[in-house]
Amino acid sequence: MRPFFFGETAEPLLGLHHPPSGPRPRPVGVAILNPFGDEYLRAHRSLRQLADRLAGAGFHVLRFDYFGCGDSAGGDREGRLGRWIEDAAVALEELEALAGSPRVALVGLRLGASLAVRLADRRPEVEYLVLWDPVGDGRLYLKELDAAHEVCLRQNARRAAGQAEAQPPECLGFPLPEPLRAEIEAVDLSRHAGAPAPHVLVLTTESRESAALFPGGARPGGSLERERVPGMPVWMRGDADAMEGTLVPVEALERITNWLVRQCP
Amino acid sequence: MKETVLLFGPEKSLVGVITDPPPEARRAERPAVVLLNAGLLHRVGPNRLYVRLARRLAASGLVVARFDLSGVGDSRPAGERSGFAERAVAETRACIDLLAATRGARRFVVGGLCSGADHALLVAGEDPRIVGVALLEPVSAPSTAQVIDSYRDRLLRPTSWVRLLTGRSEAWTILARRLLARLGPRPRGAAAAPPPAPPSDAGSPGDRMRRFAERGGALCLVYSAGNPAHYHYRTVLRRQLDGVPADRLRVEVISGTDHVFTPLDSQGRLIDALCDWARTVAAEG
Repeated sequence: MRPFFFGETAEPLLGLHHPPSGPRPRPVGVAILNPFGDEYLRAHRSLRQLADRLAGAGFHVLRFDYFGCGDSAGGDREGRLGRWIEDAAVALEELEALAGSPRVALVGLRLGASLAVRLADRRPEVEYLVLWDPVGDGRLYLKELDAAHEVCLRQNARRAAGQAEAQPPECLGFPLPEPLRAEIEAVDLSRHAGAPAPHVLVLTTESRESAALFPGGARPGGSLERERVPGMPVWMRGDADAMEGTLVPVEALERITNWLVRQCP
Repeated sequence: MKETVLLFGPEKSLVGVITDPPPEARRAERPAVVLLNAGLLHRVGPNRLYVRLARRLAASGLVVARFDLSGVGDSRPAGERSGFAERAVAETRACIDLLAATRGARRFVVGGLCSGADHALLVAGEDPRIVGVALLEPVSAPSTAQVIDSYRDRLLRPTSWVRLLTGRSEAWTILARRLLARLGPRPRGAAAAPPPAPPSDAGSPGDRMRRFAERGGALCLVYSAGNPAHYHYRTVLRRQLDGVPADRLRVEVISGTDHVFTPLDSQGRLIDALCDWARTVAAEG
């Protein structure tokens, strides 16, 4: 794995390139699109292992941090969905150069999956799309985030009465400024009647609205598969402790890897 | 301010990010700062805290490195068999060597949250170049009173009792594991390998802090009010640190927050306190 900065010099983005390590390199690059905020931290270990598995199966894999997230440039309050889609488009160009192939797959988790759909709409070279627990309804997602944040504040407020008032817009340790909130609120994957790419896998680890996505089915000559993987969603804050990010959903990683291997022989 | 990402260490397998101050703010005599992984969270820290902290410190003229220990975040697991703490010390020293070689730094501050604090204290006992340690929510061996304190919330939650009574509580798993460990066959001879030896600077955390202060090191302890680490400070550490000169020990207690400083205002207070303390350490030159 090789870490590097890419994109504009003044505002570099962190990239992590996992070159193919298996016996058979495949002519398709895979870009992984992170979830947002607290979910990003919890899913980091799983997505790193997914990248290792895919590289082991012969893919060039690129993970990266969006502007204002992780190690990339930008303050926490500067992140915007529109900007992140541009970041992903730049990452695709990097990946195509690294893999020496214009054929790409996107794997997106949660909000990263919603961004992947938006990017696939714009970039016809995206042949394969894996949507892992996609955020299909932005309003519902914000409601869940707000509820989780409320629980967190209440727990903290118990320790120091009267402290958890008049907070700036934030969610579980990350700012959630109004412009970003509005962009997330507008996320609505139900607008897509049919599959947003030639070959699509929708993977869910919990029963949500994603099972009903893309009712129009696959594109002609393409495929649309839906899989359900049992188990705790790794990106979700549970009631046990702050360290659920240590868990890795091996079965989900296997399904994604196997699907991409089957699609790209 | 400029950030560089690189692979370093004997196997070039450790992923680190160095934040350099703008050239006009840079002073070679100022200490460089190394931030250590909080548990298994990667080098950006809980809630991206380490990135914010590194950029603030760099703006005030300090070079800051954040990196992933072997097997944590994006760094490859270590090939050799050695204890985690021992390796953490060696890898932190490799990061210090890197900053000494590439940035000309001669004095260092190491810090981290939770296990990062424990590792910072261990390495401070071994490396005389370290002049300051920032310990955020350092872990400690829990006493019975602490365990009760930390479980207080759960004991008061009806869902915990429902889980316990319906057999879905983790308490049952822990109990079963302990029983099995007692009843099961005991390893003998070569199979019963002793745990790896801790780094040479053993002793209680309080002993190590005291020794560090005695050799002139500056300590900054930051706690989340009411959390187990704070409880340990109030009931054990404070007594052990009695007599440490006030200019060697700063203790900050932040209220209305949790172990990883989730609410943004608490992160702001934490960063302000650390930057203020780092300025005083830097000025000691």
